[in-house]
Amino acid sequence: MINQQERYYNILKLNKWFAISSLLFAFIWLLAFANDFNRPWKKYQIEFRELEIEKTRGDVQAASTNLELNEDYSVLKAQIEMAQNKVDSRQEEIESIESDIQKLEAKLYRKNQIYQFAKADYDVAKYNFEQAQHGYGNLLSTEKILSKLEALTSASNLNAEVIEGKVEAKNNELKIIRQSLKEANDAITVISRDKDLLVRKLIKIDPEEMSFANKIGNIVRDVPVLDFIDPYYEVKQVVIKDIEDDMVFMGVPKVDRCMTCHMGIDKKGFEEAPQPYTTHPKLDLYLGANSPHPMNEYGCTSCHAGRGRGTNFISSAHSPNNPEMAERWEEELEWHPLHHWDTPMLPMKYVEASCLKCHSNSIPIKDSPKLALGMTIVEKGGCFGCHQIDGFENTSKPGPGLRKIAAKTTKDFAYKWIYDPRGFRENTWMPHFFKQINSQDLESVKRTDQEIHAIVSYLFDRSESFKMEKMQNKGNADNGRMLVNSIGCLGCHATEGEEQVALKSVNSMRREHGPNLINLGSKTTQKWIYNWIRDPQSYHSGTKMPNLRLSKEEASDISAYLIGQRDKDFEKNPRPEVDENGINLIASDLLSSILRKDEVKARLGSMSLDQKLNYVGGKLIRHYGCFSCHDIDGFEDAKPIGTPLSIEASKLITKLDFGYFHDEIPHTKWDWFNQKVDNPRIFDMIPQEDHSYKIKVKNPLDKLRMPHYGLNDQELDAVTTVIMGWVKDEIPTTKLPARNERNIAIEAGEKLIRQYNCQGCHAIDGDGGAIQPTIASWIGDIADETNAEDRSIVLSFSPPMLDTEGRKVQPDWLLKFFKNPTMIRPNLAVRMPTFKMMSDDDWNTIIKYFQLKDGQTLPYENPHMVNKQSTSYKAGDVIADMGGCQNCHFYGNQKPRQAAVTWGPNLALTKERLRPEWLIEWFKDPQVIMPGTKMPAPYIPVDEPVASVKEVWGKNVAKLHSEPEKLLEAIRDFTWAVSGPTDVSKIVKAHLAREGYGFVIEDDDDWGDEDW
Amino acid sequence: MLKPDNVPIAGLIFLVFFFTWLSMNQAYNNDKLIEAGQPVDEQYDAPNDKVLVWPDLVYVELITIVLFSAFMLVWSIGLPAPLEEPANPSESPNPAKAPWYFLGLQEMLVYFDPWMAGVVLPSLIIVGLMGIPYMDNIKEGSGYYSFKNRKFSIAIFMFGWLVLWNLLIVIGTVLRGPNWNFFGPFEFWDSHKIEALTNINLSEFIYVKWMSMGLPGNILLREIWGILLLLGYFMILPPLLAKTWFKNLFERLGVARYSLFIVLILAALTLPIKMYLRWMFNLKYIISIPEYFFNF
Repeated sequence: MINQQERYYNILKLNKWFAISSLLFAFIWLLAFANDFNRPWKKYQIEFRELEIEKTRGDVQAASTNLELNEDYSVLKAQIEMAQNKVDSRQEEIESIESDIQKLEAKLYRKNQIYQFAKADYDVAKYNFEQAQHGYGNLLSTEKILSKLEALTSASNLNAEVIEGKVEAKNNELKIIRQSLKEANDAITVISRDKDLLVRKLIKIDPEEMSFANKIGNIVRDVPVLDFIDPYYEVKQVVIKDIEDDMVFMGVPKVDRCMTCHMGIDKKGFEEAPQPYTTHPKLDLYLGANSPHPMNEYGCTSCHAGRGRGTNFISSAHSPNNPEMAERWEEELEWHPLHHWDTPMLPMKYVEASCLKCHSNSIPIKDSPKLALGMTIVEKGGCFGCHQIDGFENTSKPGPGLRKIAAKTTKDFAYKWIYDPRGFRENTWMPHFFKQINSQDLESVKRTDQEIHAIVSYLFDRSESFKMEKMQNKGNADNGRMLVNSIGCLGCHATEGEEQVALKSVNSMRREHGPNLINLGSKTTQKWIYNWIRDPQSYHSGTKMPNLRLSKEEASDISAYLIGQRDKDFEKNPRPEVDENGINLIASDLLSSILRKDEVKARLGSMSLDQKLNYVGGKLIRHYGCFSCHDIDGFEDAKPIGTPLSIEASKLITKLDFGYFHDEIPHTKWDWFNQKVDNPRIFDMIPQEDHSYKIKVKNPLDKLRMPHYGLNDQELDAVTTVIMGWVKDEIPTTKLPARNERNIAIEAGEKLIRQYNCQGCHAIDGDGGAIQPTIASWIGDIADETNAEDRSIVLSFSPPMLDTEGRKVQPDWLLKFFKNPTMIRPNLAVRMPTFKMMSDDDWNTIIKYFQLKDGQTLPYENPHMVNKQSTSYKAGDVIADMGGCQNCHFYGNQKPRQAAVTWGPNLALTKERLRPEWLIEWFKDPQVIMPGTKMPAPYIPVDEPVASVKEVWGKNVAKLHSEPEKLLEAIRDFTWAVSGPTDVSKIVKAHLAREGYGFVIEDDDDWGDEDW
Repeated sequence: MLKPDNVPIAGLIFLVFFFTWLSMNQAYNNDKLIEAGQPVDEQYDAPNDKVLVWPDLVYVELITIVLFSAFMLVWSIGLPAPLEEPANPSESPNPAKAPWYFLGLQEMLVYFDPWMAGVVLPSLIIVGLMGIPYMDNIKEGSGYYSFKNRKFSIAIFMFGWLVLWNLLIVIGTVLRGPNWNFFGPFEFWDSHKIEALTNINLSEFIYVKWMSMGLPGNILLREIWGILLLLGYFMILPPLLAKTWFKNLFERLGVARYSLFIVLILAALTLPIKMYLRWMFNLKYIISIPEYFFNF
């Protein structure tokens, strides 16, 4: 008996507390289970299951309806019914056969057993016999038993086989009865296979369609604790071993769990579903099993960044596209940025950035227009000059050379230009170094004036002389205008009066390859322009501008036209005087870093004003980095002044200086980059409540100096996309595009094509031909609007499309042509320039590019020979004659019969220029190779009966009539043999002077009916 | 303070208050009992004061375990441990704080050279703590709480524990921000805040500021003032105190114990003294011999 007095505590109280605490503990355990079980992604998976069921039901419905409409189906169904009836009618028979089979099988079982046992006994007897032979046992008795058992074995085997045969026969009987039913069923299965698959799918996912046992299983599999076995609702993930996430001390394989909530992302059919179930756009390009980026090889975060291992909306580091979206997310989904993840998801507007890390060698990347535009802007704007960026090491400086500037322009213009480039030329790529947000105060403005004086002084002081040819006459400006609009200047340049393109693209920027030629009268002299366009390399050997082979007259005319426009307002811009005190101030600032105050004073005292100007100018050029874009004397080895940007997007956000703008812009890398490129020096400022700015306390030389490019929103988006693409991720070669000969050749060729802006004039594989709209307006000028709107006429006067060029031309002809362009299409006013600055290496790269791109891999080919006595040639002669080839084509120096507007290339060029196999392709359908061409497919009489062919076309054509291919070869052979001079420029010139192009111009009929 | 990281610190503050109160309450009660001539609560007279292991000891422990586990479970679900960015050697957190139990030492680093604050003084703390049983030879008040019999010990302990240890932890948690600058409890932690660190050594005070001459080249000459001060503090002050305020203590403890005790207590007091000198006079080091890595 327990004595209560011995206790220290009251046992009943203790018991009570124990009970309470245990119940509490148990309850909290249940809470822990519930907390673990209630995952946010389960809600999404449940919702998606509903969607999937609905969709599958709909699909089943549609498939059923299709089947109903299918004639074969109803026929087969009727057949099945008939067959079933027949089978049913013989039911008694079937039953008796089946019972027979049953009885026989029982018998078979017994017989078989007898046989098996007999065999076993036989083996024993055999052993005994052999033992007896060996000396152990009675030979005679064992032999007797052996032979007895042998007989028994074969007899029972035979019995069993007999019964087996009977069973088989009975089964066959049944089979025959059921034959037609089975055939009909098989046939219907084939037809309704799709529907069956859908129905099977539906049964698996739709609880209403499941059998009772499966319904129970459907519930049990997702119950807490038991859901470790095989749940329906589970985290789905894709593990990509090759690609690693950088965890600083090691790399871990990428694991993406996005598809846990984004259940429909790789399934066709959910394009209209609400997020997060929507199908990914362009499944054939991304995520599809046959796409170049299958989901299980690349996952999701390879392109979208973010935290792949996250399983809810916030922990996967989703990023909103704009502040409105951020607000909506905060309200609806309680979103906040994931604070400690260094690579948050790219907002959708920057998602193309990820293309860059694998496809950096092929720019522009197809299907990434924003990235392509961004890269083009980086090239044009010259970001790589001040900022070292991998991949741009060999890109040439984007700005004009300034070594001979004194010959080109005046100090006055140079001053005003440096002060305000966009004031002179709105779409210039030279950014603004002065008049910026951190130099608005009076002192800075005055200092700016002197700084520019100093820079100008330096440039002009160091300017080399430029020997210029004298012009023979003043030139005709009107003629010059026609020339500029027609010979091809507008493939790289725009001139005044052009509308600015609303939405920029890579193609629209091809006409910004060279500067806008507006208001040149304010800038330079006619003599300089004359000399420049006659031979650009003589002024600046590193220029991208090719030689248009202008005659002296043409050059005079063009320069007269270009010099005609002036910007009088710009010329009136103020240009303050040089202020020695101001210069002294800047010079002493510069010298203070290396000398003491009194030494500075002494040094300044010993320098003349000019010396001070030049000293300050040189230092400022180094300070502002002018040499990054311009070739300037004395700065050949100068290093870039800006931050290297090769892995800028992998920088930790803590390394970006938000300054006082922590609340003004969201705390993300892309917002910082966007703000920086939009207004680089704003981080020197302190924003005020009323949206004005105060400046930080800074010495002038310590102020931010990145210049202002004045990019619009579209361009900023594009540039920020590019910057976000500069990451330090290392991609394994298994995930990169193959580095085979073809890809490498295409990359190298595309680089040169971009560098020299071939696509400003030529369209290659659907991209390019930026010049075409200007050709249309030129045609509008010399003919009329109707002609200008006719696409095939515009195309026939434009530089030709270069699709299939690799298969089309002979490579050695192409090289000759590149080095010395000659007339091919007689009606073209545009002329292919001579690219003197390109080396043989460069030309070979381009030729190889075309060849490998277009699938022509043979470096050496036999020349094609034509025998003029052959059937082929003679047939071709007839076909060409009947087809009227000479209407449009020169045959050597024989002029075409029709007007110049219809002309095609001189056929005498064929044998040296074209490849024979390509001509066949061309004749089959020119529109496939050059969409919009005015060349028709030559008519060959394949559908006409042989007799009429023989009569109308002659026996040679009739001989080849049965093989259309041979007929085409005949035309080819005829063309091949056309002979005559290939240089018909004199004839063309004379013809055009006399008869013009021969445009069909519909006169406005101003004779009304009443006037008759 | 509600961030999962800091909830234990907040809880700690409450716990410190509670246990201080508990012990002081017990001391007060014991004193009353002593006055009334009764035995104190902690008095243990075998065998009457024995209790059974089960249920009195273990049952209570069991209930406590269950309750405590429930509490921990609720805590771990409600305040999940934070997961920050992957560790990056090129990216030190600012402020870089020691665990809470070392914040007192980290705070000492502001005022003392790392050798002192990180090695010498912590060793003395440990030596001191280990030595308490040997120095404490008072028979009364041994084994139970009591103010009457333990005034001095309680005072020293509370000073060392609450002020020198706990208070510095709270300061280190709440009032120290980026770059270990001082921030008010609700002040925004601006990592760009700049505080001028214009502290000077004693030798510079004496030679440069007061005597307007340059620092002597000879190290001994330069630092003689500080050395004398320090020696006086540790060698002259103890005998002085033994003759005056600590007379009774000296008599009770004897030379050996007293010497050990006084050195330890004076060493502990250097921290508040140094703090005061730093705040009031911008004093950096009393002795500064960077050539031999010795600064005090």
